[in-house]
Amino acid sequence: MNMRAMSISPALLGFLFLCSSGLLAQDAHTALFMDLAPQHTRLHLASRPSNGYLGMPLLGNLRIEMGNSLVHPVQWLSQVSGESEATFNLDAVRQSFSDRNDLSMDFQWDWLNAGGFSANRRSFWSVAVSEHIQSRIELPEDLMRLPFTGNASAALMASSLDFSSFQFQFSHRREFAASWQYEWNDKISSGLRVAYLQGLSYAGTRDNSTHWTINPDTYAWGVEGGLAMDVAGWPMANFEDSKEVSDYFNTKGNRGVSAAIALQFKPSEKWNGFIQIADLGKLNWSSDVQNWSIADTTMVFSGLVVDDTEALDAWPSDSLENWLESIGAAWEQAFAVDSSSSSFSQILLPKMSVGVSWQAFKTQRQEGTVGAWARSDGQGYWDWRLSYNHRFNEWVGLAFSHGVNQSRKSTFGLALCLNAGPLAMFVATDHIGFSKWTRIVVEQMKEGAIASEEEFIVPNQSHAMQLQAGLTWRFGWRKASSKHQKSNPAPNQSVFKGSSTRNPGMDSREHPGAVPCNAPGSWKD
Amino acid sequence: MVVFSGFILFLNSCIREEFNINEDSPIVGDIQPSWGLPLGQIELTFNDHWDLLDSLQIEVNESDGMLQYVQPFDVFSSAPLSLEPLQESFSFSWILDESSADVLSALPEGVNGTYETSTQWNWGLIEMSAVDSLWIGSGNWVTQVSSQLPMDLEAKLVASNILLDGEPLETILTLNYTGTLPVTASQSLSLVDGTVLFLDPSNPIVSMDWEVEWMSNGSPINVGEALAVEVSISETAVEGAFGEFAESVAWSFEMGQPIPVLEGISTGLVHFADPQIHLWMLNSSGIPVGIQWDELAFYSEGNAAYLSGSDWTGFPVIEAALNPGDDAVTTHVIDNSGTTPTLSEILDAMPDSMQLSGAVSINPEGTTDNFLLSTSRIALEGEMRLPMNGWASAIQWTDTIDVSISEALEEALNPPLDWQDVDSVTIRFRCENTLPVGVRVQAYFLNGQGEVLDSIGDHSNGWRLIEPGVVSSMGQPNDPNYGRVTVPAARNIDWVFDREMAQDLVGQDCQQVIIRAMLETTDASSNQDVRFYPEDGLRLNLGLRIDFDLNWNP
Repeated sequence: MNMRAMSISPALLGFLFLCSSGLLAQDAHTALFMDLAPQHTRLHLASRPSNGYLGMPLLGNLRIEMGNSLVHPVQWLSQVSGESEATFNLDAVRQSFSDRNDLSMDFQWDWLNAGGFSANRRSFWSVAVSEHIQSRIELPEDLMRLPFTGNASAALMASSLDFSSFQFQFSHRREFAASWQYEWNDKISSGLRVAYLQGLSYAGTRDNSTHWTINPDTYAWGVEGGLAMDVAGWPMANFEDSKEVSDYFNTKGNRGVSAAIALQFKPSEKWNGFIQIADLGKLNWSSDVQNWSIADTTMVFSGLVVDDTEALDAWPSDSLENWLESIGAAWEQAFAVDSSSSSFSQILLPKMSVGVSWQAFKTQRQEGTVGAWARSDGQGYWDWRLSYNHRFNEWVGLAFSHGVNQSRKSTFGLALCLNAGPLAMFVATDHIGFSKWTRIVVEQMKEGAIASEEEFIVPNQSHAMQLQAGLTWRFGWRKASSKHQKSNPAPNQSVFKGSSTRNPGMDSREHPGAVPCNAPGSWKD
Repeated sequence: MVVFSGFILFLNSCIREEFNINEDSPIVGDIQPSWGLPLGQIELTFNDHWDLLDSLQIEVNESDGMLQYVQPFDVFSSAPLSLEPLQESFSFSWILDESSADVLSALPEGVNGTYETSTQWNWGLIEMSAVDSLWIGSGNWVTQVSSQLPMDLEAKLVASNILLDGEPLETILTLNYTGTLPVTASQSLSLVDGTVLFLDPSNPIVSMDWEVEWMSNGSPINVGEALAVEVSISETAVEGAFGEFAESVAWSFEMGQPIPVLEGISTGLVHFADPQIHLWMLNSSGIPVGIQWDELAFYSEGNAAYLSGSDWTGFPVIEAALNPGDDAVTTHVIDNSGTTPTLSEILDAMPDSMQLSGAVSINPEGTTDNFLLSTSRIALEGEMRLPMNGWASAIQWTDTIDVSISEALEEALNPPLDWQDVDSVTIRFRCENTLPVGVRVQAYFLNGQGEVLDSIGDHSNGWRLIEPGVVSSMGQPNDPNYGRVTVPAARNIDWVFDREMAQDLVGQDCQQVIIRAMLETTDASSNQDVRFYPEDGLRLNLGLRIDFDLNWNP
């Protein structure tokens, strides 16, 4: 094949760019131990934030995450310094399709979030109304490598092409969550979150078991397996022409609940550990539902099967066409799609996590904490992260981490929480590698000279890009700032421990009814 | 917004690499996919194609279930003897002597009297030494009387051993004198379905009893006047004859029969382990028939090989039917056990025809009680049976196909693909063979001048072999399973059509393909006999695999 005959489509590169870029989503693990930011309680339910808060509408917590293990054009190119053009490496393309190949994009934002301590300060209550949009498509390794291997390579002859990992899922739901954190004593505290789920739309595959086998002796094709797909909340599910946006955002009938529970144990001043189980529950989809399924079937294609050799002589000229039609009809019948409109449940994937932190040092104004955390994400993958959290003063906290999400390549993370007056600004990512960008210049040649250029800037070798940010209003900031600026805390007491939402400037001993909070920077009697 | 703006600025400041790509950018690495496609499957067993086998004159031997080639032939079909129509006549005259004339002349008018006498008519049948009876199928009995006597007469004839409708033949003739002499009268009787019974088989005589009644009219009668009688039978067909036929040679025969199944097969390539000639002799007559063979010869390109031996010399007598309407069947088999040289040895020479000649004789073992009907037949029918039991070596089939391979190959791939992108094209034959025969094939590609450009596989040992099934060689050759496939063979046969070959053919104006196939039975080189059964067959899968070697740079 002559590559020169092919033109490089800017649109294709644009698609690659789109696939390779994108911002943020899943809660940033890096901010796990950053109690200065109230958003950290999403992952660490038993930990209380340093202050009560009120999230700015739409801006209180915003998360975007893009996952891409499928298309990384910069991995396929190499350009030696001084060379005028890059080299495209097909082996690298093939290699890049090994293992998982998926694209995902998640969005979450909070319409409302707020939290505050109870009167006796043993409890911290918070509520949040949030929107979750998640999408993911995974393409099987065997499918992606098919152009490189074909269906009859020596390696495949002894096995089969496994397409069962193909899956697609899109869901849009709204959560109405309430959390309660309670400090039982100096050592133990707990957290509980319950959420009502309102499903807006869903589309997803399930029960995919498709394989394509090639008989090593006859090259006969065997296709076996089945596939199903459920859709809910979309106008097409009921074959309606359209659906008003307002109707969509007020879709009724898709309901569910979820819960999370956590327990924290602090055996000493320096050590802290917790265990948490989240995403227990399910979501029932019953509005505008449509189901399609192909039952497990095995079909073998052996080419033209001749049972009666004498009939060959009687074949009219259009028999090949008829034969192809009959084969097509047989396969269509074998893999007939059954449709129904049955409600279905989306079982949430429970996630169990454990974490431990150790206070490395503590001075009058600064504090350094080392944390470790691991979580099973319910899909067979393990996330883990090691982090160092540093609080420079009561205004600025920084976390730096290293770890793995969904068993992928390890990345470094960075989180920053900045209190600017009553506003607490929070930015975090677990994948600062995505800041390593690459510029691809597509040159259109004309008569041997560069006629035009188009530039695309794409992230470099990042499996995921993630950004979580939030802007909240801190309760009681004025008193806290003025108090701390005027008073000298006791030597053994951090300034952060005085940051009560009721009376941030007061020492815990000034609040007889308060109870200790083990989270760094939280109120402690 | 400040954070996001800062973030974007941060990103722009972190561009680490830059790649310039255009249509001329080099591409490295390999793409070598292999694609397999099943083209078809044919399952062939003898059992599923009886129409074809029938057209090839192949059938199942019901005794052992083995397939066999059967070529029927007729040697003769005829009456052992022909019964000639009877053509007989008998006459006598009653002449008046002087005394009789005086007595009749003296009688007054109106006086009547009766004269009775008997005569015997001797019937002769030369084929028979003794005749018990005859069945008459057609003909007439004609009686004529001529009188010189001037008086009225009435003559009555009764043949008591000729039965018509169960009654003796009887005829009456009346002669009325009107003054003119002679007075004549005649009468004809149909003999259809008549039976003639002879009291003495060795002397077949028909007895006739005459009774002549006369009435005088007073006229004088002269001496020497006579009453003349003539009886005849004409065109009288004998439907059946019962008695004794003489021992004699009836007639000779000669038959030539081509053997097309062996046509075109070179000597030494095929061996039939157990050929047989089955003969059926049908006899609906009551006469035993013998065959005196002159020769049974097999001709191969004009050279004759003569068969002898006990199966030949000991040919049985064709039995007689016990009763009219019966068919007696006598069978005889000529095979290797009673032939010299053996029939297998004869057929090893691949004869193109056989010749039978001899003579039919009746009562070869002496005269006996026989019968012969006009419908009686003796027939000698035969079948040459070649059980598919033996071996075959290098039976070759060749066909030349006029096809512009170069043009077809050039058009097979369209840009941007070309034959540079194809490493090889493999045509896969998968044979699961329960037949005790293997096939070797080869294809040669020729240019317009008939010169060989290339071939599939290596010339020296590149015959692609369809393995024959493994046969049992345990026991003796006449054991039921000897030579039968016990282990089917399965083999993949790849015809690899690589890039170099394709490019050669594209550039060399290939115009013809010679396909050559050679068949060989299991272990034919060691003369292993094999057997074919209706359950035997093969499943042939045809597949195509293309191994690409995509070349991205010119």
